[in-house]
Amino acid sequence: MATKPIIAALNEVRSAVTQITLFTCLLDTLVVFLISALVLILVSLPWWYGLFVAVVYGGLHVWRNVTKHRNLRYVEEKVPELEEQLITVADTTDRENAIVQSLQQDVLQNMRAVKTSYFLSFGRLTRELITLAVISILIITASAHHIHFLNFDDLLRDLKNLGGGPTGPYELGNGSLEFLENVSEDIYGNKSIAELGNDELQLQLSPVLSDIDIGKTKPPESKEFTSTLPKEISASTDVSFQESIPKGYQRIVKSYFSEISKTS
Amino acid sequence: MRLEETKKTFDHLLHEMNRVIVGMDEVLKQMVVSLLTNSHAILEGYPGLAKTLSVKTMSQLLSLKFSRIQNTPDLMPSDITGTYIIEETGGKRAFKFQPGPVFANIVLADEINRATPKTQSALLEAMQERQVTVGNSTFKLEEPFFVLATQNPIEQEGTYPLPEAQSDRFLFKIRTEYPTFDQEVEIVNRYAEEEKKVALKPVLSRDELIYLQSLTRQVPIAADIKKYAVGIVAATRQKKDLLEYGASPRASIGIVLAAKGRALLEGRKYVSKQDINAMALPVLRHRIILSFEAERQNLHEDDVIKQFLK
Repeated sequence: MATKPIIAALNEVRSAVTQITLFTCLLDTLVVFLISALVLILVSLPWWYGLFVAVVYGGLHVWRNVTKHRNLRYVEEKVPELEEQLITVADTTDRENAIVQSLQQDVLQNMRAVKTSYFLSFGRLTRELITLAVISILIITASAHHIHFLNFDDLLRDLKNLGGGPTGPYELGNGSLEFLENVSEDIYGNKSIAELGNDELQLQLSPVLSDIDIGKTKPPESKEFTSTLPKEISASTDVSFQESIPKGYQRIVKSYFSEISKTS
Repeated sequence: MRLEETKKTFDHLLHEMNRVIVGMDEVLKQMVVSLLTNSHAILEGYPGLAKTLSVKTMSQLLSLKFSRIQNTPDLMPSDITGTYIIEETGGKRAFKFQPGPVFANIVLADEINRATPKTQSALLEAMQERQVTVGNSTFKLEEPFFVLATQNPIEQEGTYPLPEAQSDRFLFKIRTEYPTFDQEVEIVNRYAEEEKKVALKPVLSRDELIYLQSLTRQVPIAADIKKYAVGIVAATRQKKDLLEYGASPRASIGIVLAAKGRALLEGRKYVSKQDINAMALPVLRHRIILSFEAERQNLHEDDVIKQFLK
């Protein structure tokens, strides 16, 4: 059975409106993409992140507009001559009577005067094209001259440190301790310790204190030790650091001097 | 009659009515719409506002059988419907049905609220069923059958106001307002000067009217507009603060049908939202009951209905 002329005409209108809507949505999405790309470039992030923004925006935009514009009310808004006639005809295509047929003829007649341009806003189209051109130029300029208003990675790092990182004196860690070994004023060691080797030591051990009463011994207490050192222990840079002995050689130097002390 | 000629016919009809009636364009249109939808209407207004004259004029222009019932408290149902009388022919006596004034195409029931509920019911039953039962016999009323009842909003003492269930059977409650100053001067000029009878020629025949009635129901209406009409009626049932009782689904049918009639009268082949808005007032105003709060705020039925219109 051949399709009624009015049904064919309504389908044609819907398809034309959908095409125009898709075109305008594409342009809108392109503008959004370029704006996102520009912003991303300026904050030193990969420009292709903008694709995600554009896809999400484009999807929602197309869905919303196509749904809205496929409704013949939209066509009626753009073509006031067809106001309320088009929806009436669309809703009564299954009916056959003198008035409906006459109305269908009138609508078909009026639809001939409908132009694609009714659904395109040339002002908006021009504005969008100009915007596209301007943003493209800005992107090229920003890329060519490496213009960055902000380094997003640095910003993130700074934000992370804002939460209370070490400022001023260092916390004493294993690394620092290793470093402390080599920062004495005298690389030959403490003079008083060195002189101690020449004196005679007279030590007397008190037997009372040294006796061990097994009955009084208790099982060892389990103690928990925190891995972090007390805050009052700190390290600070010293002049000797300026000697800048490479780390690899520090042990050699240390063992050298310990060997010397053994032989003396 | 061709479809294209309907607008011209209605314009001619209204023009002829305006030769007799001054400044009642909207009232006359609503009366014609009521006729097109094959429904009945109540005309409410103060005395002397040409309610009866407008109905008589319309019946003349439509070349239909017209009858008038002046309702009084002592009017009996049989005075309306008719009764059996004994007739003697050739020496034999037999009962013969004598039709009452209800057997006409246009019935003017003047001051319907003055008749007793029993008589009102007889008329309203005839309106609804379009037939009259007397004794064991049922008599069909001739089509078209149009009852135009009038009632007076003042002097309510000794009257029997129509119950809501009864008034619901009228499609419209048409309100006649006082004319403007200029219109009143024109009325005086026409009727207080030298009496010149306006010769009215029938504009529509009975068959043409029946054709137009069938055409009215064919006027297409968009689903959105239909939903809008139903939405208005449904809203009257939800506005509890201002309305004690809302309108029934019969009102939804009435609005859509009346809007179709108005569209045809205006020469349109589709129902517009304007038609719905225009017809909502006369269709709904006698189907809703204002709450105490609305009355306290001195609101009229029309004021409340207008709140539902977009």
